[in-house]
Amino acid sequence: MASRFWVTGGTGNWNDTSNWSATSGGASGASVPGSADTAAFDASSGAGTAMLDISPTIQTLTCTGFTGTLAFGTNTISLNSTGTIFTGATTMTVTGTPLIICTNSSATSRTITPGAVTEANSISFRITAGTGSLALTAGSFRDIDFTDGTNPTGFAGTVTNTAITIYGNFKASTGMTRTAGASAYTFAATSGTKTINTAGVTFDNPFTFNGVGGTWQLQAALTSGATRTCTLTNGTLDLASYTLTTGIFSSTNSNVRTLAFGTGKIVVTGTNGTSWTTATSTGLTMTGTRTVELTGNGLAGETRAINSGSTSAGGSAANAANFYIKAGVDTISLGTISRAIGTVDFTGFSGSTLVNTTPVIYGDLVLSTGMTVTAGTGVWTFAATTSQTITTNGKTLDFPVTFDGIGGTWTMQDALTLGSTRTLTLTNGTLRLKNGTTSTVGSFATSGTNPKFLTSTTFGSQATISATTGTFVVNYLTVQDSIATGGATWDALAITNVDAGNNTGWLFSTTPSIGNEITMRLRSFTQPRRF
Amino acid sequence: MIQITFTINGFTDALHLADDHGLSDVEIEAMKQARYDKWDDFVKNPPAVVDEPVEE
Repeated sequence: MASRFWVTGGTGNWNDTSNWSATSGGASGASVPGSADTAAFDASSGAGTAMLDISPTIQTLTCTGFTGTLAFGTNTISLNSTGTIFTGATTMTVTGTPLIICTNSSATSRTITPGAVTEANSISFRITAGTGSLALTAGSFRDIDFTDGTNPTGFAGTVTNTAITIYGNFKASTGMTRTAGASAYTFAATSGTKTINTAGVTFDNPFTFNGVGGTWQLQAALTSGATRTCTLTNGTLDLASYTLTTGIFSSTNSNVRTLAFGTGKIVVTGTNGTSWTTATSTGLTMTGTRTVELTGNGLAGETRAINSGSTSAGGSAANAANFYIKAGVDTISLGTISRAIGTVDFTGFSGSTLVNTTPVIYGDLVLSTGMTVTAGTGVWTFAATTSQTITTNGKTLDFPVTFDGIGGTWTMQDALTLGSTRTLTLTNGTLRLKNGTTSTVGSFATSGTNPKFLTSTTFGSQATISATTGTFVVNYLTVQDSIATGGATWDALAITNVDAGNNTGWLFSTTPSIGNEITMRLRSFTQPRRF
Repeated sequence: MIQITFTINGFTDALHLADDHGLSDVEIEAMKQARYDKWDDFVKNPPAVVDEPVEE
């Protein structure tokens, strides 16, 4: 094995003996490094450009102290040795399509040390073989490809737990593993769409996506562990159709960023802590299914927090995810400040909700038969402006409930029961109580001057609303197919209210109901009159 | 490379196979199931957290 040092001061071709020396800064004329040799660029190599006029195979490449340029063009460098096979430098520049191929197929460990180079000067690595450990030491990479370039196989060893930055694509091989650990993979591209293919390999480490203008698109499922956090700081994370599994998902800042679910979903497996946070949702866009499943088996005494976007910090219907809490006997917090949430579905969950949680729900609500809905004074607000459903499965909502979405319709799938001291307030929209059932409230109120509607789920079939005591004076309310009963007085005497028919127990004024309205038509002045 | 996207019990993943993979449909279906089984086991039975020391 021979050592070769780049010594030209200016621009020169790799495959030229006049650029190589046997010693650093020594006389030129040494042979071009071959497959049994090492190559080094250092401070004595000058600030010129080394042009790859061939695709050489060498043992190792060291660039420590090099201030020149390594011009790859369309050529590659193959490194066939073990140990530290590449050492980069933040002082050097690379051009072309920089790709280094690591070909050693032994079980001996290897280390790649690229340094914290910039995106522009990052180099792509392909590790085509080997069964030993591979340390990607803290630094920056362009593409990382663990396959042989043709097949889904290639590197079959273990990548150690190190934090790295990746500016390009990421492609795992089916036979590799990655040591679990807290060192993150940070994807930091600032342009283009980069792809991530984990090939079924579990990467039990944090993932961070942080590149202004960058887009990362999954090409397969991405799975990390129950204690790991997936963070979206800047850019667009596109799940395409795939499942992203993480312990915690975090995207709470005011940067412009997009979480594109496509037809995919995020599975959050963490327990006892914040499972999801988009608390500050300013600048956050969500598209696609927005499906988030919480599958962690939280234990009694533990709490999982869903800190979706605060309505005072950018949280809205447009960036509210849909949460499906599928397991656990712990406590679920939907936040004790107003947080925008899409659908909340507790099917499969057997724990309880946090006292005084105050969600603003833009989607459906499904309570599970086995859960406890904790009483409190926190208001649950249904704020959809589209049609949604509510399934209580016999649970009492022992807290105030408000319906407030212009154009929103909430269709009860079963009886709605509020605690005996709790008020149901209808501010905007249409509440359709389940026909043939009795919904119970502590009190009933309307708010504001917009029209609002109380009907049954089935036209012509009454739904009962009941309260034991009190006088409920309503305004701007249209009532249809409703039985009001229970001992309370249901005062709809104000002329702003409308008796739309088939009502019992409501007090209306003598203004005509809709059924008595006269149909008026303008006579046509464009058609000839018949006498 | 051939990309085969599949969904099992709500889990969506993809196989990437060489153009000349030579696998039978049965073998491909088994690979899909193995992917799902591995994910399902990892999610339902998360491994104990024993982090390796960070390498510098």
